[in-house]
Parts: sequence; structure tokens; C-alpha cells
Amino acid sequence: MTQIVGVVQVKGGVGRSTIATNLAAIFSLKKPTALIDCDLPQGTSASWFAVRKLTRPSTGNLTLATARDYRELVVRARDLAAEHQYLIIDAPPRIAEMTRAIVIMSTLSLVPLGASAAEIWSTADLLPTISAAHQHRPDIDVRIVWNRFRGYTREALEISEAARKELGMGELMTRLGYRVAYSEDLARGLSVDEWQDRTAHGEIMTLAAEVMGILKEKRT
Amino acid sequence: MTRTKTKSPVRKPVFDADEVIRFAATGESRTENVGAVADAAAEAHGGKRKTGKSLDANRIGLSLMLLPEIVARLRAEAERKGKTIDQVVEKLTHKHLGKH
Repeated sequence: MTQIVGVVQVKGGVGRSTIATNLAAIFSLKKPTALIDCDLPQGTSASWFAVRKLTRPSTGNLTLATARDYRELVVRARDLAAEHQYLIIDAPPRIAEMTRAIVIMSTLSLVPLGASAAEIWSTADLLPTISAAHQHRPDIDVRIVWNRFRGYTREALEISEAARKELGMGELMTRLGYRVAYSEDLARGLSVDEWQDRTAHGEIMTLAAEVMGILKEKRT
Repeated sequence: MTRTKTKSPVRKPVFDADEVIRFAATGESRTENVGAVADAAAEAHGGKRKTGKSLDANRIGLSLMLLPEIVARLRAEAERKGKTIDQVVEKLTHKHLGKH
């Protein structure tokens, strides 16, 4: 059964494409995976894939698709599900039909979140959509992924604690730090596991393993 | 002897496309919307909504993209008559298109 991972967040610049592209690249090492970029015309994930194609002879098990609206997304996902084990969806930064569609169709939705008030406010805007989706499909699973997290600062720890109380959402254990590797690998069409920053490499591999573990539990 | 490779089976998507489109467009599900309105309406009329084969047999699902005010009018009419939105649409269709 095809499993869908949606990467959603209302605010822009929080790391949706970074997480989506890295998960897609790592998942595709194991199983056929499609990355669907719904954040058009920006198309960060699509651009990443284009650069990747230029710099390597083959993209292996990884396919790219784009969707301009939620109806196109549903058709694309349905078609891609025939040939792919995983669909990774990079959502647009707004609450609209597309975000609702992604939340309701995903096996697991990831919400990248930095430890800043602005990002927590924007995530609070997402809560009614999650609540409505949950009423409709009780098994939806939406979890925060802490990104650009500076765990050594008191501010980050305090804000993340406040967010936990305020948002009441589950979260992944893996936290991504504030690292140059994440933006550089995106520009080079690489995934972080192909880049030289060993800490970033470890974080991303741990994230992918945690997400795969959750998906595996849902298959059984 | 080596095992022959078998083609992997076609994988089913994990979602109902019509339901995804409906939820994405309105934030409501078909089942909740129609059922809840009909139940509430039937209750208001002192009765219980008729369900089961007589209501749903031979029906085909159809997704519609309607203006919010039209949806509100359909919902209000269904509530007033103690029927489902589907039944209201059917009756209107019979009434206005049945002649031709």
C-alpha cells in the first residue's frame, strides 16, 4: 500500500522543502518514491530535482511531479500510487484547499516548526484544519518536526515547551539543527546524506528512520 | 534455480479521491454533512430519518463544486423538509428537468 507523507506549514521559509526533498531522496534509496511539489510557482522542490537531474546520470527510484491545485494533486497522487511505495508532498504555505487535501490524504503529516513565536502562531492557524480533518478521518496523524532548533539556548527550550502546551500536537523525537548544510544541499540538488556535514547527515538519517518507523507501524 | 522476478502489484492509493476533494473544498465530509443534516432535520420533525437500502440502493456518488450560498440554501431546504441534501437535489432535478 502506498503511504503518503505530507509536509505542511502555513508559514513560508520554515523548512518544508528541505524536509520533503531529503525524505524523498532517502526513501527512494529503499523504495520507488515520488516527490510532489504543490508550492508553485515557487517550486523549490521541483528546482531541487531539476538541479539533481543535471548533476547525476540517474535519479534512481525518485520521481518528481507537480500539482497546481488540489484536484490536480488528487489525480497525480492516485496515478503515482500505482508505481510508488512512498509519496512525499511539499505543501504550499497557506491554509486553503490544497493544505486540507494534503492533511486528509496523508498517512503522516509533518509540520516543520522553528522555536519562534511567529512560527508557533502560524501553526495555531493550522489547528482548526487538523481538527476538522480528524473528525472526518480519526486516524490522521500530524506531528511537529522541530527545525533550526538551537537546543543549547534557553529561548528555544522555553518556546518549544510553550508550543507543546499551546498546540497540543504530537512531535517527532528527531530535531533538525540550524545548519548551513540544509540550505546548501538544496541548492546543489543533493540530499544531506550525500553532503559532508556529518552532524546534518546524522540528523536527517535519524529523521528518515523515525518517519519510516512510524509508517511501518501503520502498515501492520 | 533462480526465482523469476514478479512484477510488483499495482498499489492502491490510501485515500478516497471524492472524499478528499469534498473535504478540501468545503472542510466537511459527505457522510457527516448529509447524515448530520438529515438526522437533525428528522429529529426536528419528531421522527427518525429513513436509512438503509431503500434510501441508498442504486445511488451513484457525485462530487459537486457549488457556491457557498447555494450549499447553504440546499442545506436549509433539506433541514426544513427533514430530508437529505441528496433527496432535495433529486427532487429539484425531477421537478425542473423531468419535463424535458
